Amino acid sequence: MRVLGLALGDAGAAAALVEDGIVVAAATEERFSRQRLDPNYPAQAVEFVLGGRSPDVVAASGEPTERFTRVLTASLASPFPAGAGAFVRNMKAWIGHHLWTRDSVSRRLDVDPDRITFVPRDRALAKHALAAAGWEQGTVVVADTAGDWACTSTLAMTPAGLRVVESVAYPHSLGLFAATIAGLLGFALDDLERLPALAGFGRPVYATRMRRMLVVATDPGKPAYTLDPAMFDFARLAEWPRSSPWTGGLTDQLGAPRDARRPLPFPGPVEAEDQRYADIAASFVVVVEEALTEVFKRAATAGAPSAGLCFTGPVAACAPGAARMAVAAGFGEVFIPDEPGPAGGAVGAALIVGATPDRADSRMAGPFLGQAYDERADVLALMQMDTTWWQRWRKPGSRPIRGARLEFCDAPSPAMVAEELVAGRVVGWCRGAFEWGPHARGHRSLLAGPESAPALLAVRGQPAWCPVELVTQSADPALNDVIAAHAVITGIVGLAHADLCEDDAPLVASPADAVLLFMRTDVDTLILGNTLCRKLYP
Amino acid sequence: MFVTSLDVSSPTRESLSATAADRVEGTLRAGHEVAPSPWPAGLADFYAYANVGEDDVFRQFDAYAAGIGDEDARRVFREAKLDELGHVGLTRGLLLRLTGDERTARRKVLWVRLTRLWDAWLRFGKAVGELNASILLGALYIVAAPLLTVAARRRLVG
Repeated sequence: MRVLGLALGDAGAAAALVEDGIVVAAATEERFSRQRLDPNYPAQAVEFVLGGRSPDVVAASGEPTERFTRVLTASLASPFPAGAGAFVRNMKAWIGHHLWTRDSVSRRLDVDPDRITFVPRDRALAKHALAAAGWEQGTVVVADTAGDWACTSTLAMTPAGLRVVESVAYPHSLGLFAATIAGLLGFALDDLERLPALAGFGRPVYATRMRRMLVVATDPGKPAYTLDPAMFDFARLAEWPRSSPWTGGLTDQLGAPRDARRPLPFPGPVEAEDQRYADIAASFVVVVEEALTEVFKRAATAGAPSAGLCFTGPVAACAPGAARMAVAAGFGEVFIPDEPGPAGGAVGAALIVGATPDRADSRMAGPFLGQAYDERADVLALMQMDTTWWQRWRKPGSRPIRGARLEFCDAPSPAMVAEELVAGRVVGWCRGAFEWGPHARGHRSLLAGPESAPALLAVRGQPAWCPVELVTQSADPALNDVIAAHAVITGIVGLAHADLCEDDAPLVASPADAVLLFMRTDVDTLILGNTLCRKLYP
Repeated sequence: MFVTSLDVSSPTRESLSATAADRVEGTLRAGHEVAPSPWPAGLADFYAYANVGEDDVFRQFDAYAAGIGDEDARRVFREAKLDELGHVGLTRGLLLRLTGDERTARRKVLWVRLTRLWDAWLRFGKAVGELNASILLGALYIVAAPLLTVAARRRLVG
């Protein structure tokens, strides 16, 4: 059976195709539209995953009617009459569009409405995480923004199926709390990964104040945590940035919001005001980790039949200490999927609907589920470009260049790439199918030697959270060989690695995107399939 | 093995590019392959659309040049206007080459103008609809919200 999975109506719309219980393709719309966290209907992603075929069944993550009741309730609960704007905007969006998702998907895909199924979002995200981990049984914690009603759910996968063990309902959402803090610090509300990146430069001096906003309960009879409703008005999220999801109570505690147009000076000398932002981020990380610790402790004692924990949901992207906390709570193993955000629901919903009695377990073959491209046309375009074109595309402030040289080979040898890295160059590497998830796993990567890491971060722009990742021979032989070749020359086992993209753009998808990035930024060398292109400086 | 450099002279670059192209697997034939048109209705329709767009921009600059008092600014707008006139001629010429006769080209341009008029009408209708919806929902909020706020808050608190 061919099942098309969809994640709709949220930042990071996505599509996935599951055939006979196997995930054969998955992609987020942002990769094609080049609009970060694109919330629109994933038309291009659907076109890619279907590849001209038609689906037998369509499964979408999230139940529109449940979400509508949540949004309606939240809008009505806002202070009267200040909540009128949020109510009108929310209802226009829902009555005008989102509530009729079944009909609109049916029309777009030419599929009978009866063959479209909606799966609760926490279950879809949990199923995706388990499939990515390759576990048939286990415990999953989903820390969402606000899917249907459930915001933080603990689920157990047993031979009897997936069941919800414990759930914290809206408005007590760690994800929305994170979105509020992100907004206060001048980031996009969905861009939660900025918080741990900024937290690295601060101290948790606001933790005590934040603990009054996010109250952790150790009493098993109560929810694991609650948010102080006096500090937040999440119904106003629909009006962002004209209106903010926080109240005056929150700004009294944490100070005025940051002007998003003013760049952050980290790393470097900072003013007291900039330091305050970093301190807020650091305090946020501490407080959220405390809440998650309580959630993990309860999950460990909930009778889930596994020593391992899958942790997913948008909050997983802004809790760098999740693995440590889960181990402290008693779990032996922790797994965070490559795509912890709402997009994962596309895969999870398709797997749940596509499950058959003889194939209840489902696994993902790896992260490289995106589109593969023929890069020859882009290589030719590179050859045809003269320096005036390059100068026109260069980002302001980037190094002047004289031109570029191309080198062709059957396949870039590990030694060749290692030599580039040892020479202190920042290397962009674009090969094969792109990754599922917001981050590079080797096919759309920026690489640099450890000593050139600042140059690599300069390409990315603002501070980015780059967690340590292990590369194995079985997972990615080519990248593993490059690390080994680099280690032979320098004696250092490890490379600085980041996503092949500019600061506010999604990870590159096509070779053309990679070429544009190469032209604009201070990436010194670009490897496109079997071609190595190196910039020449005056 | 370096086979081309972008800082060499143009003829050399072309010959090197050709050599390099032959070296790329599958042999790319520069100048012989026409990329598929991204415009779903075809290239002629695209040029008709582009021609109408360029013509509109030309008229815009014409209006600016006529309306502005400052002589320097007027000169800039006149230059821009002439530039746009060149674009209008270029797109018109390409359209004529693709359609083959003036009558078909005119029909295509007329069709684009009608489509744009229809789009403008739809946008107007949508704006009126949005305004109506806002008034209706606003009224509904004023009537219903005071009655339902307590129940909604109770539902959220649990």
